[in-house]
Amino acid sequence: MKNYKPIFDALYKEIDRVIVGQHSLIEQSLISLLSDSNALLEGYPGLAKTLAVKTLAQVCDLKFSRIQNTPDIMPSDITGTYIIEETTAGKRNFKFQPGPIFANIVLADEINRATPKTQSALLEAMQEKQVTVGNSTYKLDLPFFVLATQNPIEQEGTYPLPEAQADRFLLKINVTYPTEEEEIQIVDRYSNEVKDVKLKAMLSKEDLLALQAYTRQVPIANDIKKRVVKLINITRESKQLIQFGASPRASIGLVLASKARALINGRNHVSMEDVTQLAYPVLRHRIVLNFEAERKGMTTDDAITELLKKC
Amino acid sequence: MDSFKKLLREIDENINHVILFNVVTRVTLLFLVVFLILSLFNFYPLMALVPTSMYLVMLLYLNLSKNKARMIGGNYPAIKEKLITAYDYRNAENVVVRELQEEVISDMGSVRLSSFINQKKIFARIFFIVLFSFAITIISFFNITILDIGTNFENMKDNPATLGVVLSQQEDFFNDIFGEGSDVKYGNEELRVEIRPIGYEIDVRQLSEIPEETFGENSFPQEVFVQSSESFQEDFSKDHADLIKEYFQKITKN
Repeated sequence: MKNYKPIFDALYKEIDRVIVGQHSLIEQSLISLLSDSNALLEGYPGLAKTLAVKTLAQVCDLKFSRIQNTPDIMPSDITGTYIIEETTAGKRNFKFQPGPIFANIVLADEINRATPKTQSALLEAMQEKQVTVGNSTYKLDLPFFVLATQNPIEQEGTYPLPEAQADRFLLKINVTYPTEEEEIQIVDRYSNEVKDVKLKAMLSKEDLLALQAYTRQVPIANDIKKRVVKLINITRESKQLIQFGASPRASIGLVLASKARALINGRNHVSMEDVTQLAYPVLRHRIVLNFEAERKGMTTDDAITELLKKC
Repeated sequence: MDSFKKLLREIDENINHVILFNVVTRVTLLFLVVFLILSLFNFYPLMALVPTSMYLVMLLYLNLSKNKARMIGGNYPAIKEKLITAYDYRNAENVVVRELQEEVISDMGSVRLSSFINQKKIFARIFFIVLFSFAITIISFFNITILDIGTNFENMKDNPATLGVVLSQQEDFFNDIFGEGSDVKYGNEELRVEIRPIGYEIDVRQLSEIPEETFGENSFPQEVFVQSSESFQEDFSKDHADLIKEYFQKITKN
């Protein structure tokens, strides 16, 4: 596994040519990719969410597509539809025109703006890795990875993802503002002459599929596994802070994400540090704080910190 | 994987040796302490084997069942997570686990068996073992006791009276063996007989010299003289004698 650490380091370096900072966003996106799962990005506008995902797709040599969700978007706009095609012989027949979902990395911008029906179509593709249009089912090309974004402000006229559907995302990545030094670099890079940066593909599709298989093989000690399950159980039992706790999907997600993080860091075993670091993105969209906690001004991250102290 | 299992077996054996050495020294020390105390009270010193055996079994069970990988991890935090993970996956077979096991095998080169031996404690135990051994030898040689509980215990078994046992209890005890001690009748009188057992100790204070007896004239019984007695026949009349004679003749004829 140490053979892959230099590759990931090189990958970060390549992404750094376009994206300044946002290392946790890139790392957590990679973790979702290696775990063969999906991630929800939440951040204010202008924080390079779209650019980061697009750059990641280029560096991993994956087909990228973007879906800008609006309230009037239909499921067929995402999955694809049948169109009438005229052959050279003059015959007309229906041909399936794949939608933007037929890519390896799909960026669903502002998923909370799409209607529940459209959200369901996307979520079905995420879960089943296939799309059903009419009577036909079309398999999606692997690896398939959806990065959905949400704007934490401007909630008017939106359709917030229900908790049951938010649970299907492995991680909820908080995209934060860059530091002052990073912002100076950004300004220097993007306010001067625009240079077309040609990125090198550091990983291929086959490499990614192999890495996804390796991720599941990374061992995790029994006592760390027990602490993961204990943490998830505590989310259900801590009624003084949490109204609804996390499901067993969170336990699976946390273990898988920890394995991916270990692999990215060149370790061949999961460390407790992996679990504590990834508890936040894994749990923050799966737990609902009660009124008392909200009244105190606690965030879900504060609640998770309290829970980590208990286990 | 075979080499890793071989490594685990070696770890088990070596650490078990250290554990056994620790257990033996602790058990020996306990035995000597208890033996010394029992010797000072002269109360069956070999009974020290009882608590010692129980302690031995308990220590062996607690220590031999410990997870040796965790013991090594406790002394070497740098390899703790790796070693415990590899131990948990000792039967798994995949590329990543194999690499982890190889890494652990190479890291185990830095583990020293001496790190599991607390030298100060071992030296202290050996010192006290030698000290108590000498103490026991000296006590046995000079027959030193603080309180002779053992002899008193034996005496209590033989004669409770010496320790002030209640008489009724004593009677009951003897009645059990010899039957009713006062069940003797002579004519209409009931004699109270006290049966003294064989082991009855004579009160020396009550013993005295046999007194000298002198036999004088007064000690012999008085003489007995024979005197003749009168017969009733001389005072009997002839008429009366004839009457009686006829009576008896008639009886004999009938």
